[in-house]
Amino acid sequence: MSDYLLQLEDVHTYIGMAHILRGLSLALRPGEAVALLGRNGEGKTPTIKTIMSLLPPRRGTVLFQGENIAGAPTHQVASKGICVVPKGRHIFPALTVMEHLRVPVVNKKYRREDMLKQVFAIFPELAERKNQPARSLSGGQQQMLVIARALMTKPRLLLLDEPMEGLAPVAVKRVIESMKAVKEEGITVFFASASCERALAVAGRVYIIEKGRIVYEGSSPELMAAPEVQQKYLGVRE
Amino acid sequence: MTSLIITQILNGLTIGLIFALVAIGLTIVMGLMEVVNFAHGSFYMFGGYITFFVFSAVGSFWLGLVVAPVACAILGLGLYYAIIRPLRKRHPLEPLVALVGVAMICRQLIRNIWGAEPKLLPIPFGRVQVSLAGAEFTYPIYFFVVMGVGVAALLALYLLFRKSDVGIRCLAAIQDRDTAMSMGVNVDRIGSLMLVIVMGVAGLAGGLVGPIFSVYPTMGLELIGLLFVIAIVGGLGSIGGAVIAGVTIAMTKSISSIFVSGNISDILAYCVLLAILLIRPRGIMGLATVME
Repeated sequence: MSDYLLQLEDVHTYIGMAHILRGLSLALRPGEAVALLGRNGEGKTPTIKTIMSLLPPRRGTVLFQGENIAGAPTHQVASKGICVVPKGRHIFPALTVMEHLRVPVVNKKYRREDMLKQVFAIFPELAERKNQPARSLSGGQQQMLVIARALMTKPRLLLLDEPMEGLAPVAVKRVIESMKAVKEEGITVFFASASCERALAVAGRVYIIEKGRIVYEGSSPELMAAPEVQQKYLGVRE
Repeated sequence: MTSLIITQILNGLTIGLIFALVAIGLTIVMGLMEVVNFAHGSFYMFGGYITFFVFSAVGSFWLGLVVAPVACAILGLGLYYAIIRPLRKRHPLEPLVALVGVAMICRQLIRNIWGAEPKLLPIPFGRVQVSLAGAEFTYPIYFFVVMGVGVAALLALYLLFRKSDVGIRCLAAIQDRDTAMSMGVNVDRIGSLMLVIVMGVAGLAGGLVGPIFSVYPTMGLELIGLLFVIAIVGGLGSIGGAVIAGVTIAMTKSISSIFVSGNISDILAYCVLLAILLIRPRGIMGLATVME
């Protein structure tokens, strides 16, 4: 068994006829927080969806705890211990906060009451709004809710797709805090972001994606010390 | 005149609740599976004929009302695995065409067994003297029973979707299928369960109307257009919306039929629903307010 919790090897994913991920490989060790950086349209969301099996790869392997989960049904991927905070939050508008937390299927080893207690400890603002419809929450609160929703499955790996996008600065701060809290729980965190500065506040290591391939890999301090890399792959194109 | 109007209001309420019960099933299947279930009315017809069959075989209408939903639930599961699940991900026209075919087969099958002419089930119980708003008239007790069963079934559906995990997960999957699956929800399995429940409900409704409208081979096909209108006007996945839309259309039909002929009252009822749709394009209860 490898040292990696998740390992993507030579993954090729298509959306219809379009070849989106072109031989993408990356690996996550248990307990680390890793960012997937890249400009919009380079393949960050397809990477997350490929891991979740919402976009099954046409070629390549997705090893989770040594088992190939490429092409497995999405709900089975979730039950193996991967959960996701999708891009744009994707709340269920008609459900209340409490109902949101009842949607995830809780692993039989855990009791839902205990999970709720843990989640409300990280997100006290949700405990106060249990019976409020999710659509009446602010953007930041909705982001807290979808992170809490994902944590209800007690994942070993939490995927977040642009978790700080479109939020007010104070909400961004809260998201960063909660991602750190999740990492403190021992959960591996892998998130996509277009903003280098915000990502480095959480991630210990980064990958940069361009045209469906990983083009850079390094620790956060390394990337911070390499403005030319940031400019080349993440800066505004001339 | 007052007694006639009150009678028609009670009739509208009874029939409207039945329409709503069947339409809710259609909207759940459309929302969850993204399949337009043209065969939905066939299960309503099956319910009517199974009740009739049990009644003619053993003489008990009530036993028929128990057998019909159970049999329709099992047939619903068959429909799910035979047609809906395999064709769901294809081009939307494929399951639609297949389900139109199923509806035609069902109608022809019933016509070959029992013939084209309607079979009227005897109405259980007698009439009761009612005095309401100064009017004195008699009204069939059975209609009150239908209202009671209808309300109880609606309440059960409400509790299912608002209080049980599986119901909440079903609503979540209707709103966002991918996200629900990402939370570990097995949407396929919920789909099969929902087919069992909504087809059972359609079968119950078909049995209940046997003594009111009689049962006949085209009763399902006649209803399906109306059901689509109720489902869409009510808002996809909405119990409350289906009840409001179902009762509105039935009430418009029954009250206007006092003043105009039956054909004209049908036209009026559709006009009312079209007007609602123009004012509220996402239905009485848009998806954002499902079941509130």
